[in-house]
Amino acid sequence: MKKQSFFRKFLYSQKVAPYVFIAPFVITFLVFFAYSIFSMVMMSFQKVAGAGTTFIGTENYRVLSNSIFQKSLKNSIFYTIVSCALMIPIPLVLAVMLNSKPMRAKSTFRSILFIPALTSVVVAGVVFRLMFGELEGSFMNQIIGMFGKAPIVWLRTPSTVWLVLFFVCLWRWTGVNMMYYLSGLQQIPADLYESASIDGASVMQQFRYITIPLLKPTIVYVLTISIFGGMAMFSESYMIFNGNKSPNNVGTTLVGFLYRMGFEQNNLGIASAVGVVFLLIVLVVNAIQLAINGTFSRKEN
Amino acid sequence: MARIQLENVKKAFGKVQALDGITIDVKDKEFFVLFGPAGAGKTTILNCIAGIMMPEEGLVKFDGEIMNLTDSAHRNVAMVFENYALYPQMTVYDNMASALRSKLYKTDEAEIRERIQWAAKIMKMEKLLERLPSQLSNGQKQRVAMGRALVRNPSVFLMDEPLAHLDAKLRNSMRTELKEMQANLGSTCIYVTHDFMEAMALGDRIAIIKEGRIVQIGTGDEIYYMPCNEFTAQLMGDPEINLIDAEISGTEEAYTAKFSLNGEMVACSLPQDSGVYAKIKELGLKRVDIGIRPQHIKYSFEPQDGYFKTTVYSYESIGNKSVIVTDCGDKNHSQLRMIAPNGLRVAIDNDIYIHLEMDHAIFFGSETKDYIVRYDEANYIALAAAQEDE
Repeated sequence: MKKQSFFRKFLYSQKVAPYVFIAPFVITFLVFFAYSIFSMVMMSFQKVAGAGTTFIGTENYRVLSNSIFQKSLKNSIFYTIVSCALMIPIPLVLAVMLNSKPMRAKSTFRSILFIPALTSVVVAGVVFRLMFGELEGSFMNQIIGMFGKAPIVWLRTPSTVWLVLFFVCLWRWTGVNMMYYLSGLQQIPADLYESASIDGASVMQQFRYITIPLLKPTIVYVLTISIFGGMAMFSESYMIFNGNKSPNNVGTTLVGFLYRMGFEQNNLGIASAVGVVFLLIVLVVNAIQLAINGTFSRKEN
Repeated sequence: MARIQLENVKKAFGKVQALDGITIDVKDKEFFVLFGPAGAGKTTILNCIAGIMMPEEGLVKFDGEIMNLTDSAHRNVAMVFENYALYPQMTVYDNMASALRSKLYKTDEAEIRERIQWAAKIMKMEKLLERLPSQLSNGQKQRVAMGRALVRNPSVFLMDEPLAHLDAKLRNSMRTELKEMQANLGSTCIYVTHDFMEAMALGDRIAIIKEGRIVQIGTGDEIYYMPCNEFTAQLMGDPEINLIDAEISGTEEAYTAKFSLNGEMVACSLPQDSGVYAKIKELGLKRVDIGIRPQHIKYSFEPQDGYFKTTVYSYESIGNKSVIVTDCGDKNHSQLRMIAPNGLRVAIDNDIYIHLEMDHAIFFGSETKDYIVRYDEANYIALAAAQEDE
């Protein structure tokens, strides 16, 4: 009985209970995030080899001048920019269409566009690799063959590699971003549009002056996760090239390079240095983006 | 400015018939009030006039011209929405200017400024012009929404409960203001409300709406004194009218109404009135619902001749007067409401003696619940006719 009363006293205490409630988050954060980041920063200044580690200063950061690192950084940045340019406006237009009154079979289209997000990247990657095969009989080559085009070596030509990657990105994430936009659109009161149409605003004006400003928080959110998602892209490239080994590193991303250094070449020190650089880039880019969009400015309400 | 007509307008949402054959004729420069309980279809009528919704059947006419296929932008209406519909990212000034900056109603900036200043002055919100809607109270938002409609010069103002969110004092002053403004602007105005005081005070004419149908159209007094059925009678007036299920007996010389009170049948003679007596004789009325407004029930704390004993159920003081509700212990009319001066010392469950002033009674059919006749009917018909002519 005494034990139970101690337990009760502990849980029912106004001072202790709140800490119990937040403990799961705090513990997982400390173990899996704070400690890992700290240890990553530490390791980036160390030579990690089997049993022991030795401090070697900024030696690992010499990797920044590595040409493959630079290429993969360029790839990641290029991928991020183009995927953001595709993944912000296209789902927005689709969402507005799906949210409009005259649209029929809304939930059918919504489901169809959302299905790709439910498939595993691995399955999708394998299927796309087969679809974009080099042989004449591959799915995409058959399709372009119908238009009288010669078969293309999709995954070994730099330009078409990007085409395939963006195609996978669009296919997979359009539905998700569209869902974010749809939930944002449904928050906009209908009488704003009614009022605007009574006052003589055209459909384009309504989009420009009502939809965009009221959807801005959602757009900023989608942009933020898209920037991070673009920089962190790895699994699509890994699956499409059947491993982390695209020809002439045409599809190697920053995370791909990190993986190669850390787990394929067992050089965790360099991998950590790449991770630190990656973290800084994403932080800075998103901070700049959020500052421009006014997320940090104090909201008066 | 325009005359607005709806002819047999019908609109359904799925299986729900929101409007079921609405026919109204709003005269040019009239202040027309749509009045009814929540969900009656008042806002839907406004939306059909504004062109936000398309009726499935029936005609919408502006000045005799059929507007069914004209989109809302080209109908030249201004609407005040119940939920304000202010653009959150624009200042009050830009909100008010938005319509005048659209392609259709293009106005030069100097004139926009002038008109907004004028509207802001009427609405007492000169100091709010640079604020964002999120920085306004609900009452202020409502005034901005009104101001945004005012700066236009539309053929009709459509107002959907524009005073609903204002505090009581401001609501009263705005009511007066609105009536005067409408008279000065000489504009047609269709106004939706569920507040009978607003309807009575503002409307040149009132249409009572119930479940998508028009129950009665008339001036405030007409509807108040000669409600076409019990529903309207109950809607108009606060506290609600008392309805007593009574039997009529007697001869042409003198009729008596009998009804049960606390389980006993009591009799109340009906005063002589040529109209009422003629109607009773003509229809051979045996059973009626007698409607008596709360101000026509007198009370006494001492037994008196012609007074019936009841007990006090509740006593509410509402400032300049009070409302007494008595318990009559009867199924059909278990409670009677009456108006008394305030400052009375009334204890709940005390005895109270009441007297019904039958010479103000309104008679309704006990089955149909429709209006039959009332005392002094000729007088009220003349009054209504005189108001109609104004």
